[in-house]
Amino acid sequence: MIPAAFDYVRAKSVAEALKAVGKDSKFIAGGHSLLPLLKLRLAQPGRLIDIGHLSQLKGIKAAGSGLRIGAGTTYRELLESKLLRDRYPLIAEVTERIGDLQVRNVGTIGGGLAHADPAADMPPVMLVLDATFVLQSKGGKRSVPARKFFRGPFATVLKPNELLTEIRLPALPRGAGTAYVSFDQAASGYALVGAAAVVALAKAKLSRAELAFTGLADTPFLATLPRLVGTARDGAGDMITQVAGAAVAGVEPNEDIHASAEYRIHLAQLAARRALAGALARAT
Amino acid sequence: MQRREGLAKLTGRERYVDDLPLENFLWGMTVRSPAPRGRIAAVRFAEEVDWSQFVVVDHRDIPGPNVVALIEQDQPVLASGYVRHMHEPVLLVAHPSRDEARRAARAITVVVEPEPPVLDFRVPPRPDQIQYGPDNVFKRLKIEKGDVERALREAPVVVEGVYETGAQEHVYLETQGMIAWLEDDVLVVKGSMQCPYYVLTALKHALGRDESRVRVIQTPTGGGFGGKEEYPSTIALHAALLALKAGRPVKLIYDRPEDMAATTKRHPSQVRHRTGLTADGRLLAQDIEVLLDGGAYGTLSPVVLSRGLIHAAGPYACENVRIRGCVMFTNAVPFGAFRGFGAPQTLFACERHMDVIARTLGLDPVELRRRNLIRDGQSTATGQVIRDGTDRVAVLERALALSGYREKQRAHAAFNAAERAKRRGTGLATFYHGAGFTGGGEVGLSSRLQVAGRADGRVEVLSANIEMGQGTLTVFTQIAADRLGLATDDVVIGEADTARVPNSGPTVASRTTMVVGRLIERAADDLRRRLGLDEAARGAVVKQAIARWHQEHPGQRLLGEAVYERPPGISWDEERYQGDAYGAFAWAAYVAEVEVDLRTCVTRVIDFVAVQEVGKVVNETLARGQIQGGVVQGIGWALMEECKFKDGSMINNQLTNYLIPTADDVPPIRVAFLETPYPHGAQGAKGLGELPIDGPAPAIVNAVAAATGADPRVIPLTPEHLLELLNERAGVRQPAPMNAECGVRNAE
Repeated sequence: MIPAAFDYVRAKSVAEALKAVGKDSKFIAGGHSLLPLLKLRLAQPGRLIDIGHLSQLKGIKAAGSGLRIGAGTTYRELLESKLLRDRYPLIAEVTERIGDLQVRNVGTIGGGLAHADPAADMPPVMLVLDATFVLQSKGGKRSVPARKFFRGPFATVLKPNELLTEIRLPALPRGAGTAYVSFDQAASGYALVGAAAVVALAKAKLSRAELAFTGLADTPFLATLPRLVGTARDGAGDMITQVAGAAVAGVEPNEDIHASAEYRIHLAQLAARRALAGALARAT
Repeated sequence: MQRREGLAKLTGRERYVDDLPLENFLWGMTVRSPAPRGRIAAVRFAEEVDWSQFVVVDHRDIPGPNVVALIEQDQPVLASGYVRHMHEPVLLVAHPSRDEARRAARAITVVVEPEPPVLDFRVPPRPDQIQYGPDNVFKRLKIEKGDVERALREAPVVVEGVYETGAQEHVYLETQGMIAWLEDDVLVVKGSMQCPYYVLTALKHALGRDESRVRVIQTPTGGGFGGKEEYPSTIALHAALLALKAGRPVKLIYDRPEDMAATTKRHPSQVRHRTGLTADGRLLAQDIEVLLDGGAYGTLSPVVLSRGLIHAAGPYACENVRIRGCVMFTNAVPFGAFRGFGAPQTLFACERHMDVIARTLGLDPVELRRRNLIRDGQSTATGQVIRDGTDRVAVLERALALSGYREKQRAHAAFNAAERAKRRGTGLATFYHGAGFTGGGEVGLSSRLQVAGRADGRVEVLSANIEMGQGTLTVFTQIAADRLGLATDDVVIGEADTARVPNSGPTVASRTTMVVGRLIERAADDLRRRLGLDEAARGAVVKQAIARWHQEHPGQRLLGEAVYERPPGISWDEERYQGDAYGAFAWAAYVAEVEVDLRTCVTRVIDFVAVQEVGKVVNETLARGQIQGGVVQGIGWALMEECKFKDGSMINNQLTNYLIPTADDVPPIRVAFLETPYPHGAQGAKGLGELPIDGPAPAIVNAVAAATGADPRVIPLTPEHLLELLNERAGVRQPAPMNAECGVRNAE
């Protein structure tokens, strides 16, 4: 349970952090996900570049009706932001569930997303909110939609020389309701299966309905919800039950020592139903 | 009185084996088999390691027979040429740095030419899987009373059922650990253990040393539950072999994953019942077959089977009983002693089957039990006539009253009608547990204990029985103090050091308070006799007499002594398995109330009542703690603790993926004792340590059946398992059909 030897660079700026990138370097912010991997020697980077303290990477700013969140913003800072709570209560709700107080004091939203644990709670939230991630390297910046960011367990489109610097959230439709439901592994608190949902109404019909899963497959993903948009609010309950079944159709569920594939599919339908119904109930 | 070691534990001052100061020592590590079965083709040492820096031990370093001495003498200390299970110890390495030792252990590759393992004890082995005797059966036993075949033929109703229980990990808080060193020519081994004299015997045997050159000392032990009954002999031998070769002290401490992967667990079981009854539910015949998974070595499996069979028919009167059983060899990591010792497995089957019978006959499960509970003057399956004066029906009635069983049932009917996705139910189990060794076991142990009078006027209890969290030190103090009329401060409990204490037997089998406590009383009486005092002498008179004796006999030891004597009127026929299996049984009735979430299939125990008759309660706080702890362990075994096996070894060998109950999973547990003093137990006590693990699982599963209408027969009843049952009421994942080929037929 002791990591292999590594260099440690405490960067003074994003530019310095990017300059310090080497062949097998890794950025570290809170380190709560990375350090266990180092201790188990599942990851053995030659150099850790510490970016946890960089104020450049912190902050929650309004951008039109949307929001920009610095990737180095800690979970605690997220929870303390009234702006975030007002505009994206879903993020606040999910953040409260992450780790414990100590983890939230140090862990960062960008760190967790870049780590891309297939059972983490935040990725499906980013999917349903249709976030965009800003990735920066020495060569410049690029923007990648969250929906194209996650590539597999602990794998993203981030190149070794790129750093996730900012999360951009577009405005939600007025009156949109959101919800997150997960069934957790009792010891770790990670989701066996979790589902995040956004539902918006226009003229008493569903004008937007989106759902994303975590824990169910080897990467978080946006589910297909046939014919849910356009359904009348009043009849949406039955429809949700139907689409919850459709949402998991064709999925290759994880099967591991924590839960069987069959049980995960069962829980996923339940989570989908509850998340959609919860989001609908909050939509105005 | 205040718990003896309580303050030290509370304040973190207690020193467990890993905390003890040790100078100039080496860390030991174990190199294990990577395969469940096969010939060791080679052992490769990585070239980049400077092996001169390490002490390496293999089977050739064992001075005596390469055997961990126990019942069957079949388990090698270190594998030589052949492995029979995953993680079987093959080599040992030691180094001053724990990291270096670990790295070196990883740099040794044991190459195994695989042979076909047998991994499912329920399936008859193919010829190429036979590895023990002609049929892989470690041990067969049969108990017979009356004429079962005829009674089954003539019975108006016959109800059959097959039940299965899974393995269970002990999860003692302190993992296994030993330190060993040489003091002059005496090998000293200290560590976490339940049975110092078992360890001593194993060391003497394999190391070829006589008693004068080996000394075993128990260190404060952080939980055992049977997991530190036989396994410590192996790790003690490993530490000793390294220390002998290195000429330096060696410390060998397992971390949690190693402990969970490599040490024993509760035996998985499959039990079949065929029960003949009258239409109104009176037992006419019980035909019971029991299969246990023994794993790759015999360990204590024959006696686990024995206890399992003796308890298999439940606390009921029946004239025709046949109980047959086998423990099977498999290439699994050996299973071993675990609180309850076979009885929880067979009592789960028995008590779940009682509810299946009740449902089949349309009877109330309470009434079915009330009709059949054994009455004084009636006999058990082994023909033991019960006349202890306990009213077993009263135990049941007390549990019903305390739990509000009938009120709960009415409330549940309303709740279940109103709720869409939640169901509540109550379940019951009536059961018993025999205390002390089975049959002639206690006579065989011939336990010896001393109470010494010290020069300072205090008395010291010298016994090999140990504290592991259950309260031995406190209860022993109480018993000695009460017997001699002394203050508890005037009683000292000697360290369990084989150089100082006589062999009062192992700390197992719910025997410590009842059997060994009684030896304390008799040794105290003997001390009084040696002082020339009469039986009425108590307190200051005794203290003064002790002090005077020492003035008159300077430098000498004053010892009162007692040796176990079989209580009068007890007899056991080992050949026919008939007679008085135990000096005393404790009796119990447990009621569980559960709430099942039909959507997630998660079962929560929301209320629990445990009523038992245990003779006299010596220390109510400790007794209550034992019962509550056993219930919690039972909740885990029933609902969540699932050992997932691959190639016969546990792969969820961490506390992050082997889930045990936490405070969040534990309901209020209301405990009540009924007392009918047992004349041959200390202060009238019967054993109670194991009793509370027997009842919770069937009570909980019966409650789930009552709540949901499902018919679970297999534990652990995890959400996944219950989901399958609820999806298909017909019963997928019911147990495999009982395998009649597996020795049970041959037991005839």
